[in-house]
Amino acid sequence: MKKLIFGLSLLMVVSLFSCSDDDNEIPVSYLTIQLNTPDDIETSSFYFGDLTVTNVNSGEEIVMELNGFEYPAIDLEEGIYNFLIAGEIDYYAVNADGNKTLMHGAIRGLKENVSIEGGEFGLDIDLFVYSSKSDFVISEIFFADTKTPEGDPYLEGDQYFELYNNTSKVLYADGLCIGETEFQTVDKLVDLSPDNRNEFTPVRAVYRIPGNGTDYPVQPGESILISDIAINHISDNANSFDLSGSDFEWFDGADIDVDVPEVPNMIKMVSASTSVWHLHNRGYNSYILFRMNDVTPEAFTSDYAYHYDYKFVFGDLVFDMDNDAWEVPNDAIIDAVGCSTPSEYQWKAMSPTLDLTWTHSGDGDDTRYGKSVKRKVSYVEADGRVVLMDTNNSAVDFIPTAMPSPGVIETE
Amino acid sequence: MKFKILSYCLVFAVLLTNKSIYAQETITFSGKVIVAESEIPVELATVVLKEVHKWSVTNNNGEFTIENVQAGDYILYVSCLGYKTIEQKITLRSGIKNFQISMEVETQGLNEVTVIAEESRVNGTSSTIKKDALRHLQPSSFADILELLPGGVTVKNKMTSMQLISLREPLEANDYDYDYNTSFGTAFVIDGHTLSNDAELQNITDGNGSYIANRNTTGKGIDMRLISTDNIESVEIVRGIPSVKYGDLTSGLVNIKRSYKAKPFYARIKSDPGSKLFSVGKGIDLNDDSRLNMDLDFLDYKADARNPKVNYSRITGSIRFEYKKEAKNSITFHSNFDYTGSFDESKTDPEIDVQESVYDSKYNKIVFGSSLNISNNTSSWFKNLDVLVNASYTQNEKNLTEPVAGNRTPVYTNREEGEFYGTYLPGSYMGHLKLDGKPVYISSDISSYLVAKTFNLNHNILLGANWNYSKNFGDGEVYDETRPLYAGVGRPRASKDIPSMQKIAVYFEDKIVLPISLHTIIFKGGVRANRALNVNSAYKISDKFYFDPRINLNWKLPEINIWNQDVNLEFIGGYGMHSKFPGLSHLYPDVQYFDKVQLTYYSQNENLRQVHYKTKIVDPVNYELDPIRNEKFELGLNIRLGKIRAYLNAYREELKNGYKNLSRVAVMDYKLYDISSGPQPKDINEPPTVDMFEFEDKKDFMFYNQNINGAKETKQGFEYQIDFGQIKALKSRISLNGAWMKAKYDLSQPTYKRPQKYIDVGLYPYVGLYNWDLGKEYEQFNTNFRADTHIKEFGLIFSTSIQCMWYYKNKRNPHNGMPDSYMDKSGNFFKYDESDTTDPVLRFLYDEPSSNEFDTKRTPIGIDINLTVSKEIGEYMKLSFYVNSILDYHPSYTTEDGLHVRRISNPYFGMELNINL
Repeated sequence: MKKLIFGLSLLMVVSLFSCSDDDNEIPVSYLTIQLNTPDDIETSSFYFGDLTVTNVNSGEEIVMELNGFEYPAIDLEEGIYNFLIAGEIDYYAVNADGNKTLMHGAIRGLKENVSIEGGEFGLDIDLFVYSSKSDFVISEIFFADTKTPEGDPYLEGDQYFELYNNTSKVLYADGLCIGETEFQTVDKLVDLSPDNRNEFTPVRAVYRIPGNGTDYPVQPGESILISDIAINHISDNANSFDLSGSDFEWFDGADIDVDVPEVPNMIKMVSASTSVWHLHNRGYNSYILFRMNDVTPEAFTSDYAYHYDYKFVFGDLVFDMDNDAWEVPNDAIIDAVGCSTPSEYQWKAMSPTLDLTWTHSGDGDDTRYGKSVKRKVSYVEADGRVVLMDTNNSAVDFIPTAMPSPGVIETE
Repeated sequence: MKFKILSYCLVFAVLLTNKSIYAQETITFSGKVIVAESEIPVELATVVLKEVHKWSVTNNNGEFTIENVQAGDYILYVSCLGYKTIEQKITLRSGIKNFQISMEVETQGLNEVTVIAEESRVNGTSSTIKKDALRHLQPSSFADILELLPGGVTVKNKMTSMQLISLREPLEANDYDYDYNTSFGTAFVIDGHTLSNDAELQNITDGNGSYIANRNTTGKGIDMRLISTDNIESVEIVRGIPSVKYGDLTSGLVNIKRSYKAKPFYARIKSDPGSKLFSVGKGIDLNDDSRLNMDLDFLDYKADARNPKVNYSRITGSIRFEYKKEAKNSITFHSNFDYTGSFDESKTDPEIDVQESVYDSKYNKIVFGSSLNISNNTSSWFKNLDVLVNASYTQNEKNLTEPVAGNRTPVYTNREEGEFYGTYLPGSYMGHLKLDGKPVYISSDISSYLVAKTFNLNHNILLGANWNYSKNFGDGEVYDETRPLYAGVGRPRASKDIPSMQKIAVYFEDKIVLPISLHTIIFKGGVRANRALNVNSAYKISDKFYFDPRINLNWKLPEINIWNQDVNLEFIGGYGMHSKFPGLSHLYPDVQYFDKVQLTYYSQNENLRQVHYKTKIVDPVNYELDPIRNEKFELGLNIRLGKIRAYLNAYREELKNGYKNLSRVAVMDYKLYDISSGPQPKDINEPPTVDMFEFEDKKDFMFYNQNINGAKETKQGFEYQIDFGQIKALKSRISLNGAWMKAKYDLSQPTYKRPQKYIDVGLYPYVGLYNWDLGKEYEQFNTNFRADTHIKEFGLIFSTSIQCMWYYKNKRNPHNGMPDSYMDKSGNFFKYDESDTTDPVLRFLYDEPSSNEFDTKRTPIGIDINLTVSKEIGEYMKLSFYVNSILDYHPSYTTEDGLHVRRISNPYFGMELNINL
């Protein structure tokens, strides 16, 4: 293993000189951070980057600029912290033949829920190189539900996803799958086993766009709209949207759902729920987009099954729990959007290599209703084609609590 | 009321020596023993002519007869527990008529007020609570009285939900999962009339409408909130084996006697957290023979003073008339007219929620009852005749208004099976539901006490018959079926379409006093035959008598003297069977409609929308339903040592066939049309028909619930009350009571469950048949210590109650997590065994118990100290005040799972003013 140590050493000055009230002294740690570069790149030179240290309990953030190998010293009091690194480097990518290519790219690392309890502390952060896949991106997710003019939640199928061809060539939507993560960003599981989120993403529901490979072409700069019930909802609820132009809808069976004949259905691959698929309206679940043409739903159910154990902990009470879900290989994932409710966030539902951070609509309160999460416009090409921001970092790439615009890609 | 003191009668047995000493004329000495002040007959008093050792025991009418006595001078000795013993000289000669002996009630101190429940074992194991105790307790409703029972503790009243009685059930035990067999099986009798709620049908078709389900007593028993306490003279709560006179019960009997006497005007004003109570009443003499009683009571309860949206109020009013003529044939006629109204209401806050949800409930009940008692003082065999008739009409209306998410389910209105085209409900709308119940109850009872003599034994025979009628004349659920409050479930049914239910019973009971040497054995045994009438012959209960044999036995040992104290010992034993017939809700559940959508064509063009569904109807009526039957065993010991009285009682109750609403399964086949195989909306100009589409044959499980005799409830325990009487040094009456009790709730019939799993692109294909559920075993042990101080000079009664809950615990019934067998969609059953728990598909039927699932959850000691003070102010006023949990000890503890529990008990108080003019 080629390990290059960016001998990052973070000195947390332990202020041992106490306040007048000695008894309430908060322990402070001296922290050394070791950054491990990815296995598949050779060497690198650091351009620039930031380390963001977030106190999970207080939400307080410390941002430190990483200048080469020199780092500022900070005082870090006892607590639980998240460490996030985002920077740019030059590196050599090695291909199968052993040829090296000099590349410039973004490098990232994330370590969550690290408990700092005073004293000396060593911390490893695995870095990874981010490379944007030139493919579809999830341009908008509307999960937050609308409210009727009378003030009641309208839970009648106006949730939607919008997928956007962010490239300059024609792409085919055939076989594109939307998956909902099994884990929620607001519920950190204790002693999760097996935890192989570095290679797979656990999902609880997967729906696939039908087609034989070339049935559903999408032009560069165009999007497809996938909704729950593809009708004009405005006639039922003035606060909702017209989704009659949807390209696909998801359908969960005649006894619990309605089927709109004008719009083809997604293929239901799996679902952990026996009810209709309703996205969590506080954004507790995250979403992935992947391609899987050749796997039948039956085969997916059995071949991609994921059984996991964890511990339910409430105070001092501990219960052994287990559950069933499915897992999607991270290699197959072409886009991922972490979602959460800011005040309840606990951990990432999937590998940070897929999405470094997360976005949200409101904060679990009423402001979320009628709002979506929407990708920002990066730039507009000369021919008018909009290129959306896709740095696999949803906190940066997305507009949280955005005004929904189903079927429309805004230019700014 | 002195009736209850009768219960304590302890008879002195005197050896029979029947020698004729003088050859003088022999006469028959007969007479009557009465209470000095009230002239109420004293039952079970021993009348002894000391010199000749001849004796007799008085019957219900206080009468005794001693035959073959020679004229002459004697010392007459009359004794009965609760009365002062009489020893007086008497000269017997022929021709004595209407000889009366007046006994004075024995009191322990001057003007002593009894504020505890008095234990008795004569009419089964029971506690009697009298007016003084009720006054001192300051109850808002009947539920508050129960804390005086052994095992009872003070519970803060919450009047926004129904209050059901719980006898011999640990506090933690929640009948919620076990279909309320205890409360359903407890009979409430007011002035001889049985309250019924058998015809209550306030449930709604949608079993998920828990808001309503938790707020009505359908099939659950009597809501004690509705019973006002102010006109109660005494309440006897029989936890043991009641007389066969009382039937259609399994757990116990609450026998309430209201006042029919003349009494001064009283008013009571009570206030405690959440509730205000105001009541007035008066009993007036109309003439020498008749009296009229009137009272009115108003209670207003708010769960939270800051939140006026959840509240409960009750109004009760009663007019009672008594005519009583004492003569050779004494006649007592009672008549009563009662009104009870109760109202609860809740609204969502329009400030927060734009649209208002409204729930309101109105309950109006009128009762008319009469009873006639004729007693004869001369007949040698006929003693009295009691006739009772009672009728009530209730108007019970609930209204709900809520915004509904229609889920675009079809509107279902068809009442027959088949395939139908339908229309969709809109996405959202306002739904209204009215629940209209109009139960009518009529009950009547005729009974007679007869006296017969065999082998020198007095038989007090009770013969009686009982008929009652229940029917609901209400409209049931009333709503617009095209805009239902609960979308996609059921069809409304009018309650008045359900037949009435009638029950008859005949009963026979004999009470014998059997002297053996110096011992006395009182045997009281009888049988009650119960039968349901007007039930379709398809029902198992339609043509059967169910017999309830019940025996109570008291064995009194001769009085002995230890350390100058009289010691009386009495052993008690009892066995009884008790049956309770199902209510209308158990017998006549509505048919279940299963609607399966076969084609959904929800076009964007509203005019082209089409839905097609298939309906299957399943009748969930259980024709095999039996009455629930509870078998009780009682064993007790009463000790009287000087003024100390101890009552110890062990019991075991077993109800093997309690009602339980269990899940059942049916398979339904249907077609699933593929809309992609049919026309596109652009190609048609009217809704498509099913023949335009290809379909696939499908099968699915349909679940419904059925009332089954499927609950097994076992109760056992030990109850005790020790009354140390007045301790002079403390000027207080010291007493303690409590109980150790255990109750186990288990399933006796299997139930069906389907794992909520999505397998192989479909819902789970099997249904498991489980012989276990989440039933538990509960246990608790408590002692309440009481000191009641009556300082007459200050008109002050001061009570301190130290309520110690030594522990309580529960544990889940053991099970292996596996179903017995499982069923596929073709109805084939397969045995399930251990190896299936690892099968990729079958493992989901295995509900693996977690490692700590069967651990005992134990809560350690908790102590609350309650104070009650009553003070007479002037001649007419009395002020009472209580503070509960004024001091408490609830130590923190750690559960076996490692959970640290910190307990907090908040004191609360109330006060009331009583005015008696």
